Amino acid sequence: MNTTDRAWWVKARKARDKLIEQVMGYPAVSLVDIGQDPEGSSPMPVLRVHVQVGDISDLKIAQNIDGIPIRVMRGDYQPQN
Amino acid sequence: MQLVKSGRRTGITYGRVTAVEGVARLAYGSLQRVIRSVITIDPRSSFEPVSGPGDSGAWWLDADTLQAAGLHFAGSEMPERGLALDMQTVLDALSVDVATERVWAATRALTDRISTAPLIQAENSAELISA
Repeated sequence: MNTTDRAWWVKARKARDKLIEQVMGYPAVSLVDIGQDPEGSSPMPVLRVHVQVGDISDLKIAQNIDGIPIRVMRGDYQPQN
Repeated sequence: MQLVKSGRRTGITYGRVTAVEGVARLAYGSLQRVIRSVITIDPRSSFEPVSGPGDSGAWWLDADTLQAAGLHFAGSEMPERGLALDMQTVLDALSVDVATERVWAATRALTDRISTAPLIQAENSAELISA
């Protein structure tokens, strides 16, 4: 999260919005964010799709959008009120 | 960035920001809500708790500067992870600012009262015993 490149963030936000359009229709998707690569292979932040436990075989996600890598990771979030 | 919060359920816990500008979908009962401006917070180390049910509403503070960074609202147990709303988004939505000097003064006054409380109690106990 150490990039301060404003142009990169503009591009990342557009890519995130495209990704949200593609995946938020899937019930298993709980969160899409821009952050550290959970695989540790990208020096720049990546797009992350958090999914709940269960069958996600029908979830088709590209490897990147506009050159920004996409990672799928587990995340089943509940309100903590 | 390292954060710290004090929540009703898990007390004082620490975390680190691993992602920003998230868009989450959460179920509040039968209602599905899409929540924007989400900060993702992971534990500093394995097996360290971040948050639990009842912690919503806690402020996540920058651990170094104690500036407000986020408002806790959700979390995951497996894996351990917390979600907070970006604090500036919260302040903008409510049209409020954080009056830091007043908060600091109030906190200081409260701390002073707490730190003297055990001494007062001990003196009272001593009086009770001697009586």
